Amino acid sequence: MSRDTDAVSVLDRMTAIFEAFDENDRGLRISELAVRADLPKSTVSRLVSTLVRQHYLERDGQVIHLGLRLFELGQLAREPRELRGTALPVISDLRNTTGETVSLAIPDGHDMVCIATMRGRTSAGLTRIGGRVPAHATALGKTMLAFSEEIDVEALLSSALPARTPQTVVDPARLRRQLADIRRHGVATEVGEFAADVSSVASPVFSPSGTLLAALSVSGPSDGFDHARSAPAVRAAALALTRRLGSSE
Amino acid sequence: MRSAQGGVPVSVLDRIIAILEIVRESHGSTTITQLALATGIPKSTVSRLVADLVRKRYLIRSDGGVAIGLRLFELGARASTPRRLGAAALPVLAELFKATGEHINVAVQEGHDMLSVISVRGRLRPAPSRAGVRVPSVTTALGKAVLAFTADESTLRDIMTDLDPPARQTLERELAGVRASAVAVDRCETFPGVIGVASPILSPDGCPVAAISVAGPVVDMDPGRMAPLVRHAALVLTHRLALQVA
Repeated sequence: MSRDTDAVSVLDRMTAIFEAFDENDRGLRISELAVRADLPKSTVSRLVSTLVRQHYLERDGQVIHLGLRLFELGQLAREPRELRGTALPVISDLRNTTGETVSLAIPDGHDMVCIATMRGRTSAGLTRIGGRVPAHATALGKTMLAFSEEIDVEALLSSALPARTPQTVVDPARLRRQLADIRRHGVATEVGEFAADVSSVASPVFSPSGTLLAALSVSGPSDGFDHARSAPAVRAAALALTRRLGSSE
Repeated sequence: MRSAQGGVPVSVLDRIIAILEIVRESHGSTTITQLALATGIPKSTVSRLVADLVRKRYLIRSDGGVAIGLRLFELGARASTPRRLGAAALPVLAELFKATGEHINVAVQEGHDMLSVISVRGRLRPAPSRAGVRVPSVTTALGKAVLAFTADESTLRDIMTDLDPPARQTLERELAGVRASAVAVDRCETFPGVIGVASPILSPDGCPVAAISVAGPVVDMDPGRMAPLVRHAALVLTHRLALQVA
């Protein structure tokens, strides 16, 4: 085995172990970890003991958790930190205006990664910071698809898109029309496509050079969700954030 | 990392960790040349490992160097201790902020430092610390609150050994006082003009798992007024964490 493939396989194994921990903070035993990471138990034991020593993982009795070093490194990621810092007053205004949950997410591949949230009247539509949502089934993601210059939207639309709920729009022609609407109005709308009975609207945030940087959304229970008020509010807030980013350069 | 490992890291995993450690020490961004220098790993090997780490999104390329990538942001957001402490601390922080209006941190011990896991901005500008940032244990109120109750004899000994004899005696006296009052104070020892007041958060068996602090300008923040508020917040948080475990 050459050095390169060796490095890649160590990195793959380390990644498989980290990614075995999902969003609910439940610790995993070595045997569960091995099954989830699809690796031999002896390999997992060996890697885990190094990763625990370096605080990338934590051991609590028989159970392993993601460790403090990952938290510390993650807090150093510049883009989420700077964007969140600039966005917080805008997010808090938008939450107060609409009373709904507000999220800010940045594109990563075909997903959106949530970097800031503020809970509204209920926790419906609340995505955890660091959590991912798929592009096609969310207002945040549709916003990215409508404005991103980086991803091959046609290739994504024609791939087999998973339906998250019976409402999820997976038909390429319908999605294409939706994206054209979003480009025209600057607001993406989604009703129950990602989670049943949850609605959201989102609007794009641009860098000073005009490329898509993030999307800002307002979400809440479909019952009582005021589209007519939330859509212009999220649009205005996204414009305000784009302006703030321009003036802080 | 080089000294901690007692030499140049050899295994692929140790090398990956050594590289990430230098990126951390460089506050999130550095260059390939600096990584090779600081780790002792040949530059060509560093380049290859960095390319792999970029492909896996642990790092990103930026301004002629590398920086922390989104995968670490995502994984870090799932780390257990900050999440557990954060969930328990939120109402306590809100109440303490309402009562004081000052800069608040909850931090855990990491080696000879205290690592903030959650913070609220108060009056101080610039804020002396925030979540993800380390402050030294030996001078901060957070650090002294934990050191006074720690069962980690070797860390305490290491920290004491680094001090000259008069400073060691002063700290020993101070820690004895903290053990009696459960409140530690930092009078501009870490940040000029900033006074900090902290109290330890203990596990059910009495070990310090974290500390909570209030920091404000030395000119008009009265540590005597803050002490009972911080003490109360630490007790409530200790209690809330015990309930979380049970």
